[in-house]
Amino acid sequence: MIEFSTYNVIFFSISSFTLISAISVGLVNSLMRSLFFLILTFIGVAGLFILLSADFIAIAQLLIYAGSISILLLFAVMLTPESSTNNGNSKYFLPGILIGIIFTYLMVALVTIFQFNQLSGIHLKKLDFDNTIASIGELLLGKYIIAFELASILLLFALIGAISIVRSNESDFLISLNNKDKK
Amino acid sequence: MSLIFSFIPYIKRLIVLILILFGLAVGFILSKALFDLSIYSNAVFDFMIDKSSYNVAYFSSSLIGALGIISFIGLVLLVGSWVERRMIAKFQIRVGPNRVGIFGLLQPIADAIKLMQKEVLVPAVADKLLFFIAPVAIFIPAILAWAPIPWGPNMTYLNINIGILYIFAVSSLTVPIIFFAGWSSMNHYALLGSMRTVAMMVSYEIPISLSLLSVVIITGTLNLTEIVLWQSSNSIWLGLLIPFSLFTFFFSSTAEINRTPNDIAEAESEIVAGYHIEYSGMKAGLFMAVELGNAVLLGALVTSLFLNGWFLFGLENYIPPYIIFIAKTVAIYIVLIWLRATLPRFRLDQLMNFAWKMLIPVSIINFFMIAIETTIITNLDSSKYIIYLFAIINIAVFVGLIILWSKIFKIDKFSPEKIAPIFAQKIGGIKAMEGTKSVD
Repeated sequence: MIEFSTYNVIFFSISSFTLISAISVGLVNSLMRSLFFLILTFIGVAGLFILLSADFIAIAQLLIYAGSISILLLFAVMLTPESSTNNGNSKYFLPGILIGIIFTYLMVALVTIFQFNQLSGIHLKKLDFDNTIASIGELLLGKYIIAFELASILLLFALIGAISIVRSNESDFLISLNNKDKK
Repeated sequence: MSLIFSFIPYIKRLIVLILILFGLAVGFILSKALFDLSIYSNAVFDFMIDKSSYNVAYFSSSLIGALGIISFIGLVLLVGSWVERRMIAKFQIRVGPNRVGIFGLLQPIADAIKLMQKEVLVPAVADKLLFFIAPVAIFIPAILAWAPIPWGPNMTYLNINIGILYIFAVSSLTVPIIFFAGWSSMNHYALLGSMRTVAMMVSYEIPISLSLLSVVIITGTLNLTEIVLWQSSNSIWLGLLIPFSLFTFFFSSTAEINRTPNDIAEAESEIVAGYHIEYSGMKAGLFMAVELGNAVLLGALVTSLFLNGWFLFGLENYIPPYIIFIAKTVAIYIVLIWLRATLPRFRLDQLMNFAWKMLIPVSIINFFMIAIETTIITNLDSSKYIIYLFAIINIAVFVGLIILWSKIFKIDKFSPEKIAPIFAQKIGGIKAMEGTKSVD
């Protein structure tokens, strides 16, 4: 039996908000609307992180997913035709459902196997650090420095790759301009 | 008799002088009673904790703080537009709104009533849900971002360790909302306007984060209250210590909140207005109100990050600290109005060039310099005077870098024929509007 406390009320309201918006992502027809509900889902997950007193991860969730990844997805959706019309008759309907079932099975298996009691917020609070940012920073630049640097190199590669894809061939461009002038 | 008549023109000024003195006296008495507003919230907390549980007491006392902040925003939204219109009128040698009420003070209320009476037109092909949600949802980040602002000692509503990140994250939520507003209108101009605004906001987030990074690295904290206290304990304003970060933050934030010189989103005289072209009545009014509120929020942020918050050379012991804070905030807001009355708009390509070719590289150089200075400050014991030395060095480097970038690298040289949407052309252009019945 779930006890009626403030924490539980907040938790269940946030989680129901997150779940309803997550389900609506798949159910609505318009891609834009499903993106809107996806942003709501990200915000709800950030709320759950705050409830676990993981403030930095919550803010990172807001900043990276709700603020930036959503913009990327917006521009991706903009480049698809029929983004606003009926999206239900997609040919990826059956594979999508199959993948969804597989992932649900994996998640449920993980949740049942993993012992969250050992790692929940109560046990973390016994460690007694007042500032999550400082401890995360010390870990990132101390223990996990190689992974951190590798991630930054990966991001640099992604940046250079994006620029090299978008960058036009200068000579081709000038030739086309000259042709235009001749016409 | 003639002597008395000759004094009549001065009587008006005398009355104003007496009123000012009276106001000062009343303010002095009030400032004793209202010096620290946090005691009232604490009194409510103590009163409620006797009556009921801890949660109810916490909720009620936090509700009072939230009501205080929201009523301040409401006051700003009411008075701000009047101040802006009157000041711009003064700059442009006009009279400005002076008909409704004394000095036209009731003009904003009349405007609001007019906006509410207007019909809210909804385009027939618009996405109704997103069209209705966007102007309401844009208010949420604008109000949430006020939470970690330090108004005075013990007067921070949300005293969290990640204050700067919080404000940055919450204000980045406006970008998709603006896009939804433009897209759901189902209007080519609104869509293009929102793309323009989103591209501008996304590119100006990078210089903002770099400038905030220099603030964070020099103070060693993300907490806004601690940043203000760092400035007072080292007796220097961060705006003087790192002037380029102040400039970058201020200029880039004008792009984020659509103020002049970066208000290309509402360039209705040159090109069509931006993402809010299809909104009418109070919905358009909500977008305008958010812009105004964000301008004052920018003032509060600049005050707490760069202008030493509620401290003002010892005056904070006599005047209530939040009054000093609000005065500095309003001063920044007036600077924004000054910019709006003075500067023309930048073109979009000028804006983008300025962000990517000037602000970001110079910010990175500035950031590395500040990192080196911070290591020197933290490793030296007598850091009191070396900070002033670094302030002078930073100002010199700031001026030098600007001269370097403007005179030698010449980013203002611009060739319009070289700019084309190559990537979009290669993959077939923007096809979002295909399949929908367009309005035009």
